[in-house]
Amino acid sequence: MEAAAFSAAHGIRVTDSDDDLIRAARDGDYSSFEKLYEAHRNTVYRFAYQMTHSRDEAEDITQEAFVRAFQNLHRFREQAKFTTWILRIVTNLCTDRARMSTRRTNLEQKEATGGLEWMTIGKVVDPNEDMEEDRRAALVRKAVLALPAHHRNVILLRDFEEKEYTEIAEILGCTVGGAKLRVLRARRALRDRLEPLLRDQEPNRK
Amino acid sequence: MKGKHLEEMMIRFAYGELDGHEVTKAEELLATSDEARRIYDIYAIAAGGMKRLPEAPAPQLSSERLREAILSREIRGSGAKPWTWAGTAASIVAAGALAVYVFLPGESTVSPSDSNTVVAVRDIVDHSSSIERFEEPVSSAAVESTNDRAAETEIVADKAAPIRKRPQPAASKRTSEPTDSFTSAEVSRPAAAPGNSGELEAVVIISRTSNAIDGTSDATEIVSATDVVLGN
Repeated sequence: MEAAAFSAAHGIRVTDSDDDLIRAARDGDYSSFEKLYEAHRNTVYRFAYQMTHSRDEAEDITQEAFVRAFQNLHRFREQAKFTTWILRIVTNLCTDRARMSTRRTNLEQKEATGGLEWMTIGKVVDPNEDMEEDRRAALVRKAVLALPAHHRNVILLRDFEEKEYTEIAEILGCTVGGAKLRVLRARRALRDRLEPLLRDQEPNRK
Repeated sequence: MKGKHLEEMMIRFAYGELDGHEVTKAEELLATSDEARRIYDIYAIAAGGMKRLPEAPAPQLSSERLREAILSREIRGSGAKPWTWAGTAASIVAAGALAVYVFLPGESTVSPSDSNTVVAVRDIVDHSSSIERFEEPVSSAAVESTNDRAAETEIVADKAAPIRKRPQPAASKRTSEPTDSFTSAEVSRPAAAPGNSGELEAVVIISRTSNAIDGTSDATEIVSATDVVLGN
């Protein structure tokens, strides 16, 4: 059956919701799964990129996440949002990869930090102020990349993706209180890495 | 306020997570406590830095790439009616239908061009009765062309393994029905073929298979007839 005919048979509207698309994909309409992919791949890729700071790896993770989503579509509970579910897959993939190749990741982080100095952009108001903010942002980035994967996951979800604690809890598979605690710990861990970097930079500026 | 409670409040203030009255309290603390200011400053830098993380470069992702990844792993859709199985099932049904159609007795529909099928021309005892049914004369060019083809197929048949005759009727359905296609007594009787003795001959369709153990060829007669159409 063709996709259009299938969609019509299933009563799928032009502006399909994720739930409609998932239902149709479960019933064998692959084009619906492709629509889901088109709709959410950039969110997934952006998050994976912030986790890895490698385009190739972020693309691999994005693709792998959707392959796994397709494979496990029957396990998806419709009470949850698809984005929550796919981000949960991504965070697991990122954590697994970090565990498997800590050494390789460290090397990539060093490379990435080198590239960050000129990649970080800011508003052009006061050149000096802007430079200062860029410098600090670069240090924050360095500190984020130095975090263990489990801390990086939560801090990116909360402070980069700006997810609510309830959604973070769903992604991490814990309670809302547990999610708040994890975010707090991750922020403390970030401070622990950021503080020495800021201290090191101060004497250079004087 | 001291220790962890102070730190928690400053963190939440730096990340903008405090309610109205908590904000007022945090501002008072910042105005009066050096410790609070020191904690706040570093978390404010962290919070600000998180909003200025570099943009991800444009990805090279595509639906085609995803489809390839899914197909390469032969992943079945998790739904009840995966499309991959529909194709497989259709192929099996089509193959079954073809097999039934081909192997039905008297249905001489096997193409001579099939790589596993050899069309052989063999002598038969007497088919004068069937020749009498063909009334229309055939042009000499057509006869020559068909005879050439018959000669070629005969060579193939000579090289093939011994034919094991199947327990099927020797004549096809067509022997009992007149045909208006390019069919004639001459066609099924390659009198002009090289080395032909002039006796009546029949067309035999053979399925050739190779033995998986010793690699030798084997052949099985599918159907034979005296008036099988040769040519297009």
